[in-house]
Amino acid sequence: MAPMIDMVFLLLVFFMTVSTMAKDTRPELDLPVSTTAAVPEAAPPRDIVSVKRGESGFIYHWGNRVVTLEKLGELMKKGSEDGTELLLRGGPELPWKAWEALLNRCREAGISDLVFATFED
Amino acid sequence: MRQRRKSDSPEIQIAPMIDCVFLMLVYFMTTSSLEKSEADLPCPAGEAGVMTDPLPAVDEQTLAISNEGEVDWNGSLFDLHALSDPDRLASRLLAFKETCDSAGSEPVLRISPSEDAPHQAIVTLLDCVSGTGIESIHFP
Repeated sequence: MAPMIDMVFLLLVFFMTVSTMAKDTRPELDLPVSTTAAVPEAAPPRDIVSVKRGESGFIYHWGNRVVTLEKLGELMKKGSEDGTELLLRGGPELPWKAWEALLNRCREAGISDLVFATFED
Repeated sequence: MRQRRKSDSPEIQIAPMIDCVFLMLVYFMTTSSLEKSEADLPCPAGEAGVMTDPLPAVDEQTLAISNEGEVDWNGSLFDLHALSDPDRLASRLLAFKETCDSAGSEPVLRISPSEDAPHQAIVTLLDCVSGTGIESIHFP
């Protein structure tokens, strides 16, 4: 009996830590639905930018940290020099003007390949 | 000398504990798999700066997206919320790609969403494009 309890406890601790760790890297967000997107099997470490609608204007997140658009430009430039991929996350109702400001910063940072985060249909 | 009976010794009741731990285990296993995993939708933005000689002929088409999520392609409208319209748009895009291939030119799409066009419309449009093999997409 004792070894079984040991094992079950280990599993329990594993799932508890994994579920809390997974939530820390990005803010919770509803995503648009896509029919052709695929869940990557082995995603390389990448920079994640999330955009949310705030009370006045839009709130940009770098990972889980709220940053200004100017700071975001600097961070993206650094990421593009290191060759890190960039993932863009935004809700289905997010208006284009929120992306427009961000894409201009991407262009300045020399990023041309974008990846949008979606939910599979 | 007083003998201590076996039943007096403190004993931990493990059966209820196992019940409880199992319940927690099952809870965490289901919640972790219920969480929807995020899928990648790559957007092949045209790369600037690489000049080939001779320059390939470019056929550029502009697709405007309205605030209501409707695509306007040279006057033909496609409502991306409607069921059949994305398919119709995809087959039009495929025909455009084939025309370009036979003419030997490179198909380029310029997507021009209006200020309040919803993100879902852009994603649906990218879905339509991704099956056609068109590799250059520009945003304004």
